[in-house]
Amino acid sequence: VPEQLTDAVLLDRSVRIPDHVVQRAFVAETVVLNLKTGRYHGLNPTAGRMLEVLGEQGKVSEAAATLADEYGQPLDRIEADLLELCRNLLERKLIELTDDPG
Amino acid sequence: LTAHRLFGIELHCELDLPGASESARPAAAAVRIAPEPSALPDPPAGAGGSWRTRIEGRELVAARSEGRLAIAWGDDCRFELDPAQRVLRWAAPDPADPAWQRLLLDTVAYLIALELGREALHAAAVVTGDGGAVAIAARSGVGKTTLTGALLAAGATLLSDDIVVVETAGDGVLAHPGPPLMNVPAGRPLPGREVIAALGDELWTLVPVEADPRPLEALVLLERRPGADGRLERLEPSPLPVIPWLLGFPRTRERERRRFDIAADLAAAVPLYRLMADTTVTPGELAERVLGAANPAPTAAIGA
Repeated sequence: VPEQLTDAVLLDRSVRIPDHVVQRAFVAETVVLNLKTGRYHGLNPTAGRMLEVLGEQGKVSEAAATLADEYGQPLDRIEADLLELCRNLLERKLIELTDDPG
Repeated sequence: LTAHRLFGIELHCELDLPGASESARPAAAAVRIAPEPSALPDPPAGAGGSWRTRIEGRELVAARSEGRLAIAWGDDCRFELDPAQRVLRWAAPDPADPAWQRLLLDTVAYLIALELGREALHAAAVVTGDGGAVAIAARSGVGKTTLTGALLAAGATLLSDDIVVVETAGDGVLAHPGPPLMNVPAGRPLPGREVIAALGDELWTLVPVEADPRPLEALVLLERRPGADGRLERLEPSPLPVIPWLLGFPRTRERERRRFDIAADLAAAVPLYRLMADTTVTPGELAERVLGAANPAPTAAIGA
């Protein structure tokens, strides 16, 4: 994860799930496979839903807004959780940044 | 030619091998097994996607190169599946040797099935009274074969002894029959079954199998743990407990993706159970619990 990727910058960026990552959601967990590394990852249902919304919406701030509505939680709290998850997923190459910061 | 339908494929063979289903009729996807008068090459050294194991003290190597699958067993047994996947050529000093025949109908046959795109669980499977299949996965030495024998004694029919080809079909998963053969511990022969040969500490035994694929109704992961009473624990649906039991050859990204899909489909459609038992729990008791997983008692009844 680039060091200059501050919270504000990351919120403004878009991400996507790369082709080498496959996932399947179950009641108790979402299982994600990185085909490049051959590693499996288990996400709890909340993290699994966050990944799903990130995959659908792309822009991190928009995904946070959707999730805040869905969970009825304050936006800043959801943003903090989502940013932490994004950094973990980026580190494991389970998502990638799609846009130039400009 | 005789036909062997096993692991979701059909082999046609001139040799007199145990367990042939019937005379061969033309089949589009059949693989013909033919002798190769000249020596076959070794599997290419260092080629990507090779697989190694030891069978009866001899090293077995399977490798893919330029569209063909090459298999070597020991110094003098070789197999090669042509790029069109229609002919398996073999070279061996004694094709009447039961050890070689068992290798052909077991390991080589399922490697061909994998090469032809099938996916398989390292598990035994039986068909229970309602026609569905129950698969049992366990590490070597845990008692999978002994449990399978107890299930047969309790009235189940064999679907496959050690490898079960699985495929997604509609909302469920189908399990394909293996060869009508079992490798039984020498000390526990199956009553009334014909032993073809004693090979090492196993009896290679003829056991009829169901002719057609069956819907998979349960996957039971058998483990031995001191003090465990053999209770059946239903696991949360997840592909993670399934994936270690899927055979990982060929090792390509496309196949890894497909194995993930079949594990996820299986987890979504088929109940997964863990059966942990002390060695004091008898095979008959374990069989009762496995049959309970296949045919659970109704949980509610509504009177008229």
